[in-house]
Amino acid sequence: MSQSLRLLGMLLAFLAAITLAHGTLNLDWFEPERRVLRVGHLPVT
Amino acid sequence: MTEHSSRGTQFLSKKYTSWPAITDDINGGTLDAAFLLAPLAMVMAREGGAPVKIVHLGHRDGTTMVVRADSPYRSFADLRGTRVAVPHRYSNQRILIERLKDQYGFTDQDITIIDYAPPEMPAGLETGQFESYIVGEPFGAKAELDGFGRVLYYTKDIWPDFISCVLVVTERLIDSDPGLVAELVAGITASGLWLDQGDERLMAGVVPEEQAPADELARADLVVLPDGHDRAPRMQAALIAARENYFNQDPELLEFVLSQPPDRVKYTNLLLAEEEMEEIQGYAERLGFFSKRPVTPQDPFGFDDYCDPRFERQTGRELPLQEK
Repeated sequence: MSQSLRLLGMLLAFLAAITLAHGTLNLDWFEPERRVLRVGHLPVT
Repeated sequence: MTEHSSRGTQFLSKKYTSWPAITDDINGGTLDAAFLLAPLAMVMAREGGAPVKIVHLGHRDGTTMVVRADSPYRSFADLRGTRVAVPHRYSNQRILIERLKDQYGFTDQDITIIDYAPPEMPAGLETGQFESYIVGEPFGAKAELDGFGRVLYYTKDIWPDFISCVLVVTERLIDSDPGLVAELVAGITASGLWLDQGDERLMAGVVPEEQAPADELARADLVVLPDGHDRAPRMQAALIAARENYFNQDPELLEFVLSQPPDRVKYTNLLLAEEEMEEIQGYAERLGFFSKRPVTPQDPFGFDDYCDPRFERQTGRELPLQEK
């Protein structure tokens, strides 16, 4: 195995370890953005 | 009831303590939707810093005229020479007083109209600041339940289908996200139908006491239905609306407002009607509400300038009701 492939493998292993260390992939990244609208009112009908 | 939509949109309540605070935020660009007094919304559309449109009604009736229980006043005619408090100079309650003045032949000198903050009105009546007040609920019912106030008129009896607050959105929001406006309007329509015609299924977030967690922290986001409590939509709504981020009022007061009598306030028939809005506009013009930019043949102002009824055509939004 060439030196460059070994380095690539080490990098991928490092990234995999980081990902696992932070839990799995954050699925919220792939969720559509939730829309929020504030509606003002007085406590009176 | 409108807080979460099936499409994941979140509608958050932002409670204010005064009308100017709401109009300042709209004009400042930090608020894009609000319930406003109908004539005030017209004035904003005519003269405000941020262009707005009325897109739906908030409710009908729900305004009460109150006098002291021990007073001799039995009709508007008896109020000649007295003071009446209204919630805002650009309110439909003020216009209703003008209508009554016309009906009973009062001149401007016959009754003194005072602007007064709605939450302070019951105390103002009790301490003699004025002889009567007219306001949206629950501040009419408050004096009644506390024993010193008596209802002189419900609006349903003197101006049926009275319009108090309307839903206003900025034209900026209409242009940038019309779907969001339609979703909000459909939610209000659906909530109104649930309130007036719904069954006893519980709304999402309402939990019977026997199923509620004991832990206070876990209960904080829930509305706990006490054992034996009425499950009718209006009684659930009273518990929801009593929460701090909505009305922050005693649930029993809101239950009273929503049931005594049942047609004290109505949540259906919320479509914008041109004839009704033009009647309010006519009084607004007569009373000088548009003094900064008077309505003239050269600078006209009409229903299409302050109302946008397009969003009322989309209905059928599902509310998050729990199955029995």
